[in-house]
Amino acid sequence: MTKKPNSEFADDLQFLEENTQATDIFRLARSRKFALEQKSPSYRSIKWLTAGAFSTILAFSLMVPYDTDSLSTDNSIDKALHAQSDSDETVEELYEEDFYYWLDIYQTELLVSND
Amino acid sequence: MSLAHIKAKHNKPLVEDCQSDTTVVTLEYNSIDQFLKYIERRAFHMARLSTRSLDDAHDIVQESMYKLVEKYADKDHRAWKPLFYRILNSKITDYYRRNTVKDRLFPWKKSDIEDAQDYCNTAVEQGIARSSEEPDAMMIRKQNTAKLASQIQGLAGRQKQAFILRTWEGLSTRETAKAMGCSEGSVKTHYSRAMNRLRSALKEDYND
Repeated sequence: MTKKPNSEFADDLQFLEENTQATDIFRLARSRKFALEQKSPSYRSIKWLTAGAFSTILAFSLMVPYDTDSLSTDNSIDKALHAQSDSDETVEELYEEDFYYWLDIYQTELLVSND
Repeated sequence: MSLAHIKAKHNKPLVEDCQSDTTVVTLEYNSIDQFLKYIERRAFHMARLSTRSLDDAHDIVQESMYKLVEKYADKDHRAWKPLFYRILNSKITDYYRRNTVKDRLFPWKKSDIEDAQDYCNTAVEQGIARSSEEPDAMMIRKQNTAKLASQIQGLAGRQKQAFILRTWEGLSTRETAKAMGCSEGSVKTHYSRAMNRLRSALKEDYND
């Protein structure tokens, strides 16, 4: 005998509903509670809000050019470099002074020997 | 609007019998919270068969419940059912649209599809058998239910909606048309095609 499919479908669907898993029943009860209390399902909006804020901050940090003069962390390095360059110049000046001093003495001795 | 306020506003005796399409129907709820408790499991399964994801189904049901209470809690009790299903179907449609865009942007992140048969098998194993059923009848029913759920999952969207609302929920053609936002003729067409497809796929399981 062929059973009427329509009523058989309804019976099986009812059976499916009656055998909803316990975890799902719990979640549905919680959803019902939130709906009645009008607690907004804002989980999606929070996720997108966070992602949007992070993207904005990242884009802003990449777009803003660096200002090397205002970077305080490099000041000490610059000072050290300047100091070193000053000292280099001083050393070079000393070398030149020694040279000319030596040249002066050499020329004097040369003159004395020629005499 | 607090829960107490909603209950106080809507927890009033309802005319027990009301007419729907010339048939007298006894409503099983007389307040918004009773209605949600009455409808939640069916709505969940409807969403699960449409979305193939448990988490998404729960999200859709929660959003639908929230919107019904927010917008339509003060409407007539008889209007809640078609309104709720209208909201549910539009949420499911939004889900399809979001997924289409997401799958195009991130094709490597397609969500896993949870098979309806797996859920049915697990649910029935964990569920309580009807006291009148023998174990072999229970096993046959489990297999039939799993196959039916799998076939419903494979139906086209509108056919699925029409079938579930007409067969599972027992809505009339007019009420189904309101819930789906289409004409009664369209409902009949979708429902007829869904039934033909299910009959041809499941004829061996429903014949003696």
